[in-house]
Amino acid sequence: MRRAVSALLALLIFAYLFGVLLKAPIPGDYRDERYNYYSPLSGREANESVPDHYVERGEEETGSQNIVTSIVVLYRGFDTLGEVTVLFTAATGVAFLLSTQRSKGEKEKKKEPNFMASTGVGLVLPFILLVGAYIFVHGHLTPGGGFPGGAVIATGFVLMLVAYPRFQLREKKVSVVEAFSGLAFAVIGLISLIMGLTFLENYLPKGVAGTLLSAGIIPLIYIAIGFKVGSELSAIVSHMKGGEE
Amino acid sequence: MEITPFLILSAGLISIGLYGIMSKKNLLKLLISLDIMDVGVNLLIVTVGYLPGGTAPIMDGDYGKYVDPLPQALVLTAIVIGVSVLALGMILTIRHYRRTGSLEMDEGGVFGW
Amino acid sequence: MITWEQFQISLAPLVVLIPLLTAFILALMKKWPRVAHSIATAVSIVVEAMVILLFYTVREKGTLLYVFGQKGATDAIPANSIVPIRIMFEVDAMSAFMALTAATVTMAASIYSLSFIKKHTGVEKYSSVLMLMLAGMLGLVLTGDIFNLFVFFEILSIASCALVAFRTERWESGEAAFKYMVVSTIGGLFLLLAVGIYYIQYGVLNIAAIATYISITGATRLNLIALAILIGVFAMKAGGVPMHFWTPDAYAAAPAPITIMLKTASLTYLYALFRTTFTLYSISVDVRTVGWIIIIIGLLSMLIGVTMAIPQHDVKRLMAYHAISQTGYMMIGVGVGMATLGTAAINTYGLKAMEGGIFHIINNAMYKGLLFLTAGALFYATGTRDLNKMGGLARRMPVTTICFMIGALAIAGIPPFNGYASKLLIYESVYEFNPYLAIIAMLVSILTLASFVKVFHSAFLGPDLPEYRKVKEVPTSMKVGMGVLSGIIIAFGLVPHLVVKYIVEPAALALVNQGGYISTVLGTAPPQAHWAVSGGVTEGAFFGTLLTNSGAWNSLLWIIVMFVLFLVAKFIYSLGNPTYNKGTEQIKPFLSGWKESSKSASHVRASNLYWGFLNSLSGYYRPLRRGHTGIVNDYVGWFVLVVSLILILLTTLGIKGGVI
Repeated sequence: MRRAVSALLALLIFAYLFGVLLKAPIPGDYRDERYNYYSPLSGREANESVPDHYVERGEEETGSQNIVTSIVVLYRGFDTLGEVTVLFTAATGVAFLLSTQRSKGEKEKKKEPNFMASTGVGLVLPFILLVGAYIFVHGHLTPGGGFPGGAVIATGFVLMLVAYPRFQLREKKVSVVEAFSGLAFAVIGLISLIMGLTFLENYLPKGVAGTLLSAGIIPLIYIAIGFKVGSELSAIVSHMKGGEE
Repeated sequence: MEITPFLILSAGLISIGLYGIMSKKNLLKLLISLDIMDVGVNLLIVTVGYLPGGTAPIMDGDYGKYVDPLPQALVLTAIVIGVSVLALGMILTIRHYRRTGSLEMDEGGVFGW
Repeated sequence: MITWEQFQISLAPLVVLIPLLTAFILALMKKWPRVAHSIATAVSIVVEAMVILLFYTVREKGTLLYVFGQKGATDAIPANSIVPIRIMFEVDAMSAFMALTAATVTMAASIYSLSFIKKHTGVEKYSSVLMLMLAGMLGLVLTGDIFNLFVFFEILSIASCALVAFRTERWESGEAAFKYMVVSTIGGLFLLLAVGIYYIQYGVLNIAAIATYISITGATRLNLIALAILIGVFAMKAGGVPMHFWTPDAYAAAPAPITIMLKTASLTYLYALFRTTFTLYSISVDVRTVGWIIIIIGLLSMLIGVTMAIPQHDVKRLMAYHAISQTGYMMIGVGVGMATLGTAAINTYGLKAMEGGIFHIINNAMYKGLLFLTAGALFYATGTRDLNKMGGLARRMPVTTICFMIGALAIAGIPPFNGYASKLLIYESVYEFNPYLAIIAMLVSILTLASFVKVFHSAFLGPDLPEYRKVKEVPTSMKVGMGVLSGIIIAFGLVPHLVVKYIVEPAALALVNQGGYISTVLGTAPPQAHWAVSGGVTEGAFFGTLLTNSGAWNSLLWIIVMFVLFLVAKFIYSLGNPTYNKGTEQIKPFLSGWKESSKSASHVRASNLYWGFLNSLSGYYRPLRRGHTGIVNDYVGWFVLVVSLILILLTTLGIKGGVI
């Protein structure tokens, strides 16, 4: 009964959404005149829309070649801070929700590590960590940035947890890394506040776009985010496995 | 490249996810349906930013037309939020499993009335 | 380095950043949990002071704007562009009002938790996530960007969910947290869908910019879908019927100070509902339809909330249903205000109804907070939440009893407390809109009083039960936490005219003033957005009088009159015959000739108290009971049904110049 009603509802919603989206006025160009209602109202020059501004002026205003990175860190940096906070909340929640329950009666299957798995992981792990670090250090030059980089590093640790059943993450060190990198992000923003600018404003030199040392505070923030995400995801998975005995 | 197949796909994923959440009693299946719906909404947002003939918005050479970068930034945030929600849900499922030994939810019980 | 001017301007992001930073630091302090919680309490007091300063600044200087990452923090649009490209915080009087409510309740909850959570492990993580809830609430009300709203929505949902499950030794907290998480996530995903809908059409994410575009393109089908989604999501998170099923589960399973934070979070979602309907859509859709949708949701919440509360015997579940019913009052007040927007009626009773609704928001946060804290105190002392097991606690816990009485009288709307003032405003203004609404509101008030009489009798009154001989009064920090809230209730009750004039009226005017909100960001606004409203609640000649349309209320005068009457009654009493001897036949209860077996056996338990009432209404309760299944799939199903219904209503009746 419940299945039939919900299937019917879902089908109706699909049909309706489909019909609406097909006829939706999705612009084929962000220089479309639909985006430019401001000209008559505020009487200013320059016929452009928000994405247009990012694409045209992004590189010279921020110094980074990757426009998505400059949006994520500088133009909409506060959202990124919120997202880092969400991840932190989930990790803290995981930490105290599982800490009081040990697997009573659940026998820890301590078998020997599988030969193929352990050899394979042992060979591949350094490369995984290297690729992860590369991704988040070069966030302003290539696609990627802190979040995918951190996820790759966490994948490395998860592989270790899977291949070696006796491997355990040191919970204390991981949480220290996590908290400090989160603090680093917030403090970088606060420094700009104390300096008299607004929060998370670029105050380091922009350098030459296209080189590693460019784009002001973006590489620093992405390094902090990379460490934070990597340590948090690994901590979450390690807690789920059973944590420190 | 047409975007219509992607629009259909995202509408379909949203509906399938909704169906799963509204009718499945197994906790893991509920979480997976939540994830499917999340993917559907993110796909819709990214699809909207596509410009025919555009390339990725990285300025290491002048390519003429670039894809809209803003939806990609939004979806970056939304995916991470989805991961956090999933992590918390898994923890609660693990606790439920350790307490009752099954992955089905209790019907009613203390709750309801 | 920083001038006072700059500090005032940066207050808005600072009140969000300080709890955030504190949360990051606190999670590290595993070895010193008590110190961690004391730091959290100190920070909440500092944030309260900053929020009061922020409110004062907004009153003085008008709507504040803070743009992140740009020189000239108050310049929304950079010099070389014409669109707002960065995130901004836009603080008008309504946002500052909600921030005030949130900060005050967090302060009380934090002080209360000092002894409440003492015996638990993981206290430093509790305080860290508490700070995150505060940051999430403040961010939600202060932001002016819709994707930022989504991010703070998710911060608040996940933090609340983690804290609901805090009591890991009880199984029900995990179940309640799972249901809460599924419901919140669906809400968040639908909200993201609405953000996507706005982006598809307009390419901007700033609320003021979206409002301008909507006013130009009007109510297209996509816009109506977005409106239905937003009303549905925010009403569900605020606890509006019929999407309220998660509320009793989550509120009952969380520890008491977290319950009051959850309640205040529900109030911030209600603020988001009002912000969406007033600021984004008020000139593009038919306001009567939208107003009536909100009024109907409010009406259902009031009725179903209070009738479901009467048969409960778990004290926190009972109070959670009352929270749902009180949310209905706020929705009715502001819904009437919305429905009369643009007509002449806004000046006669519409604005007064809105002020009543908004005043009720802060009053509700205070007295509902106090009631949940007293329920927590009962749990702390007796170890149970079941009213059928409690009795006679007034002799052992006098402070808790007085605080409970203050809270119960306030929620029932008894003078001279603040509940009466806001309910009076709502009754008198809503009556002129539609008399039936006011009559139902008064009926709900009576039933509210009835259920709190039930709680008072079964928990506090009655004979001295043997199992509670060793119960002591609650520790000092819990008393201080409850005392702060009682003090504010009494203060607001004594001088409601000052509160309305200085705090509520600016908020109500700011909410209606769509043009002002938009022009702060863009410089100009569509001309129809400037609604000309006047006619708020006025002050009478005598000090402390509130003048509504049909009457006046002066609480100081009421207190003086009651005191005089009390003296008269005492005088008449003293003329009587004072022969009342303890220990004689005079005080033995008469049980139709039977002997009284024991004191505890004669205590009427909670479930037996309104047996007649419940029995005669069993026809009404049976389908209600079947509707509340406790299965989370049904919770989501109701939500989808309501959003679809709202969408159908909007597309048929909601277009401007429509049928109604």
